[in-house]
Amino acid sequence: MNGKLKPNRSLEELFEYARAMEMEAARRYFQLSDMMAQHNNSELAELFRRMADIEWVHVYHVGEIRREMGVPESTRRVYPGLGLDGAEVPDPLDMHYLLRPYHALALAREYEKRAAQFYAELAESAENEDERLMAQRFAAEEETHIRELEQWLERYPKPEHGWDEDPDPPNEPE
Amino acid sequence: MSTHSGLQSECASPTSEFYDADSYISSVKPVWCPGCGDYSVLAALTNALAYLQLPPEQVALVSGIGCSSRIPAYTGVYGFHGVHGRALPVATGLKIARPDLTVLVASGDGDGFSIGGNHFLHACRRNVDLTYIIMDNQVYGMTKGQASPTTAPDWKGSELTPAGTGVNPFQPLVIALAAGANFIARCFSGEPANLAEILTQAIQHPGFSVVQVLSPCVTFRPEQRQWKNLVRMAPEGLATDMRTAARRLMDDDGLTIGRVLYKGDRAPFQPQSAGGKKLADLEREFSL
Repeated sequence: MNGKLKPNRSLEELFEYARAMEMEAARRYFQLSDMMAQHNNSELAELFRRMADIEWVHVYHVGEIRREMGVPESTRRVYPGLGLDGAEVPDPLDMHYLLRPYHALALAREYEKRAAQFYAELAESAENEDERLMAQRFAAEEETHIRELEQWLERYPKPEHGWDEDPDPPNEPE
Repeated sequence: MSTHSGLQSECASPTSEFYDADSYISSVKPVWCPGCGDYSVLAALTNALAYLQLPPEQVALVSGIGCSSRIPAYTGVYGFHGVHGRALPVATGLKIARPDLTVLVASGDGDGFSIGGNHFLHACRRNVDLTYIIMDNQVYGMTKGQASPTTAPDWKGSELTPAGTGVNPFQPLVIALAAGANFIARCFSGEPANLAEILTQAIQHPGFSVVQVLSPCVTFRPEQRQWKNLVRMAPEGLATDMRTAARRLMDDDGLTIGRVLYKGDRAPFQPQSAGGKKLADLEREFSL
């Protein structure tokens, strides 16, 4: 999709961008958890709550790396959703009330892949070496998250065809 | 502000007056179906309000009836969940009485274009400084899936219209332009970053702003999940004259999104002075 703004290319803003993206992902996993709790899918509600907590740890981690690198905090906030590509942000449109942990983790892995690709592309197009190295590091971080999700996924077999069939659905057309 | 106080150091603002998106979320949990596009509209709206740093007590969100009209309850701003189709008159009165407030209006395609269709025309014409967000899923979802004003004539998903309605769909943005709306845009809930940007512009633009949001109903229109593969960015170039905007909107297939389609410069409506009359004088005119 066009129309998404690239971040400005200072390191401060790159960190702010990464922080904003992780925060928005955390918010949206929190929203998905509530969504599933409302629809009596407690297993998914719990899983999404854990995903939200993990994303908050990532928010903290971005700050740790920034401090480690001695990069000052950006004075210009990148607000989630505004000028933010949001590659890692989950999409409610992917949800179904009968979703299983396998599906949720597979979706999360896709979102992390998008984030890794986003940083890889950013590294390729970087205008200076510092930014290129930092974008590569963020891409590597996202690759780590992908591997963690793949390990997590191994615990859940792929649901059989028809997992979304409900003999007594909550809503039927009239 | 944030619900995750343990990590506030990463999220907090340098001043105590900072509002993040969670500052605009209430403790009431949405009951929309999983997959509903309205979740993303809620997220985009709260992001837009956070970007604008509007104090929650300075914002009012007025709605009518329907799935999308539940949105005020899920926000922490002042809310008014009105009666079917009547969100715009309520919001108009509120803005006239309290011009200091940022007044937003939320509606669906049934509430906004059928039951409230006449109010829509006159709200555009009157050009009060409101932002009207229409979550359009081309179906009455709350009443379990009947054709709405924006439903295609050949949609056969409802037993009430087994052969389709056979009626051409309402074209809200063309009508908004013709009736005098001062800002017109179309977005997609599956592009919440873009939606937040457009909502920010709509709120900032003076006068009556109309933002149609394609927001899928995955329960009664499951085929709308494919919208994410069908929508595309509207052509570049902002129309500021009605003739150009009309041509663009008339040529449009309803799936172009993401850019402001028209921005006018009409001054927002201001109420006429009562001519020096006191309230008691006005009341006397209505006494029996």
